[in-house]
Amino acid sequence: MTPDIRSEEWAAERDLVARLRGGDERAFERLVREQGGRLLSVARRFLRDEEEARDAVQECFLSAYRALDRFDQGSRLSTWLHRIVINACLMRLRSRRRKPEDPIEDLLPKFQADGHQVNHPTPEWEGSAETLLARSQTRSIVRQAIDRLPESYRAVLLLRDIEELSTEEAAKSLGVTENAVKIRLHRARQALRGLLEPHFRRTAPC
Amino acid sequence: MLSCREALSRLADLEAGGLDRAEKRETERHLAGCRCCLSYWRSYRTTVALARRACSEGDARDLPMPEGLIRRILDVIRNRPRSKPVFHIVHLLSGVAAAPLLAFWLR
Repeated sequence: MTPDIRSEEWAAERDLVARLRGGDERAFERLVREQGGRLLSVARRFLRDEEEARDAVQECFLSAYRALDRFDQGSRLSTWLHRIVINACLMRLRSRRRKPEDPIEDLLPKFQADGHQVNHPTPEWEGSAETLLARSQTRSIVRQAIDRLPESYRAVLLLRDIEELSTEEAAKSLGVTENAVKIRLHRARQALRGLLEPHFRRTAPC
Repeated sequence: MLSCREALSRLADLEAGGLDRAEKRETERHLAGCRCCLSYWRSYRTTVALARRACSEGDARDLPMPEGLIRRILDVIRNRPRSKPVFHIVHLLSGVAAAPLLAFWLR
């Protein structure tokens, strides 16, 4: 008989949660060691500052420790911690002194009065994502371009496209409507496209 | 026929499969007939794929936590025992019980 790996994982997780709730320090250390690296990567992406990222991860584990009794056994610990660290990062981003954001209009498509694109012809890019990612510099170019987005657009792009939160979850985390998330995400992607175009377009237009 | 402005405003929904059948057909018809919007749509999809993969792949997901940070977190936890709801109830009950005593004493 083939063992049901999924149910074994769930059983192991339920056991871990029970030990955590019972105040088992070794269980908590195991949790920090297993989940911490991934959470730190998330915090680094949002905060772009090593010390702040480490503080956010610490806050995350502390919040989780305090809220263990409210953890819903129907969800995964990793998903729960992921949401907590994202909220810790968003709190930190909110508390940073707000700088006026650069407008992104220059990176968006432009239209004539009749609704047709102004910038004919739009150049084709050199290849698919797979082709472009085969180049050594692509990842760094893309990450730098994301970091150049104004904070309100960068945050929504990270939440939806990178951390894969639903529109509803992203809206709750940001305290805005779902429609605002959809509009901001579309503009963020368009602005990112505009920043990447000089790196990836074919020299000859379409 | 849709204008370029209308077609490009639907790209996020098209990418997410969030258009109804008629809207999808209209948008795809525009893209098929407008080379520039088609190029834009392709590069839009590439942008989304690049963002997803450039940030998630090879991003140290499985890197171990810095040992110093682990120690720091465990030290903080050790010094802040988790309060349990039962303790809150005990505190509340003891407060309620203490009130008449306090009133009697202050009389």
